[in-house]
Amino acid sequence: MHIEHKQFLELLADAAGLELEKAEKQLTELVNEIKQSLSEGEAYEIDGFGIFSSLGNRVMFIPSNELETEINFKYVGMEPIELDEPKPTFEDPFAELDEQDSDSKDEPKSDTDSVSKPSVHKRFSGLIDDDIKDPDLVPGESPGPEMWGVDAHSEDDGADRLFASLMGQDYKEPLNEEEGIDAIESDETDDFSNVFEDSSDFENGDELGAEVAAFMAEDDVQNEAELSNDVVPDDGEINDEFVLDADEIDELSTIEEITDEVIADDIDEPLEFPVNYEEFEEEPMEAAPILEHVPSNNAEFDDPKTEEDINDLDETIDEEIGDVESEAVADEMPELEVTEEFDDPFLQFEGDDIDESVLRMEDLDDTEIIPVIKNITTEISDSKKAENEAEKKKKEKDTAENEAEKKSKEKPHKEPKKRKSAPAWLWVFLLLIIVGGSVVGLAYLRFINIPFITPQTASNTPTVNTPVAPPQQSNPAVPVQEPVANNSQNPSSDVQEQAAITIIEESQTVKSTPAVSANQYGLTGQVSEAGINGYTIILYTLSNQQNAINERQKLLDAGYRGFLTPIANERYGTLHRVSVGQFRTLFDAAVAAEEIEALLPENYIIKKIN
Amino acid sequence: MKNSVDISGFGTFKSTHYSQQQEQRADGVTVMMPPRDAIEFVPDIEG
Repeated sequence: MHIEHKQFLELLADAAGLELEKAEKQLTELVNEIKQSLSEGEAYEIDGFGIFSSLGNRVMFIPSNELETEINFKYVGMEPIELDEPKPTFEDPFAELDEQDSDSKDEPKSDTDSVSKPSVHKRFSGLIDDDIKDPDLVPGESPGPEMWGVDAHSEDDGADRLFASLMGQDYKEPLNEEEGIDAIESDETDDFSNVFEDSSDFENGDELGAEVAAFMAEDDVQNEAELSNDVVPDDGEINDEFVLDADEIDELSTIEEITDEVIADDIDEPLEFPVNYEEFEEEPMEAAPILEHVPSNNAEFDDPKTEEDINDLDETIDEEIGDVESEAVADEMPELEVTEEFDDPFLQFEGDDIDESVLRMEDLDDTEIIPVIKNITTEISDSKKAENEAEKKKKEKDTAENEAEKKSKEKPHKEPKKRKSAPAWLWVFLLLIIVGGSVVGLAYLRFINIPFITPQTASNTPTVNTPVAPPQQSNPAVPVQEPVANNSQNPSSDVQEQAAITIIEESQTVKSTPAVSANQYGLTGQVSEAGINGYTIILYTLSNQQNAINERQKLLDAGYRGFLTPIANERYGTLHRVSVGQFRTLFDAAVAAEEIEALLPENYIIKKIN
Repeated sequence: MKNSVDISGFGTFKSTHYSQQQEQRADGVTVMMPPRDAIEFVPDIEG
């Protein structure tokens, strides 16, 4: 479809929704812009359409990808397909020879060459430009089958020439068809004439040559005889074309005589065989029963036999066959008597001609035998059953014995297991361990007083830092100034080292105290000598004895059981420890300390008195 | 002229069909190229 300029403007106006004049004006403006840019040597691109550019005086248009895709929507999805692998470049090693041949061919080409060239052209048609066409091919006519196959094949004249030059022979150009055929026929006749010449040479003296010549002459004679038969038809009419001369007829007669002699010599022996064979085949029925017993021997059959020979052979066969069988065959004895010897069990099923009475007796005998066999089997089965029962009983006994043995074996195994699993001495040992452990535990917890186990001995160890008691380093916070100063200077370890001495002194002081209460332990009351082994709450450790006495007096005034304990120290001299209460256990002391927590300083100590 | 648009004083746009054809690449592989259409511009002007 071709769209003219006017039609294009109408379409443009409709598509853009503009008036025709306005569309035309815009189009002319666009064209002018393109022309101007091209005249300036610049390209002009319309987005989505393409690029106009100038190359010399020519204006080129390169469509954009969008436009190409738009106009090729019909072929969407079609992509280039690789047809084959790259073929290696082929270099013809005989190209030079072909060129030489083409140069050497000054003569016009034969018809066969004109046929072979297009075949080469078609073979390499993919490599030759398509513009090259078959010169011999008539336009509108396709090459027929005679152009291909065997007819298309022809020997290359150049190849023959090359082969002849390589062999050092003179190249003979091919002749025309008629000349070639005549030449070939003449060559063949020459060859045969040479042969006949040789045969004529043999006739002069050589015997072998004479025989060969005779054989060849016979063939010729036969052929001539056949030709003569063809020439002289059976109806006696003679064609004028094949009339022979008198000399030729004489030669033919002599040839016929020779051929008859030769044929007679050749078929001399075979002619006798059919005669004897016919005699042999005249008596097939008599020889047939004899031949059944005679072993097959082709040599014997090949030899012609007369009737006397056959009879002799029959007699010898009769002698070889056994007397019994021959007599039975000769006298034709009844079949039943013969069957008794073989005792054929299937005889009763063969036919109805057999005497039924005889068969019944035989059948009865057979039926008597069959139950006997059954009885034997039953007896065998009974005996087997008895044996099986005996075996079963034996097996049951064996199984019972085995079970008893197993039980007897299992019992002693079980008993030692029980003994091994729970021996009495082990239980006793475990009980002793438990009891001992519990006793030790009770002793350690002071429910039972056992020496070396109860914590009395362990109390001598520095167990000063109880959870309730604060550390000794806080002693400097005690209101008494002197011991605070001393304690701040002296390490607490020195005080603990002299604990044993102070305890002795405390005990002396306790003893020295006149007031001995009836209660052994307690927070209040009087200090008792019996409670000297208990625990006490140490409030202060003072270097000034007067201050210690004053603090003790306060406690006594408050009703608490307060006392002083002097502690000798090498570095600080004698220290005075103010304590309150006597408690049997550490726990009692801790409970009492919580009761009077308001009266106690923060750094009090619970300690054993001795 | 078939499938063409004429703009007077400028040139003619026409479509050209290229049928599928065999091409041989530089590496020797023969490729069957699909058919395609192209737009050609025949200018009336000279640059």
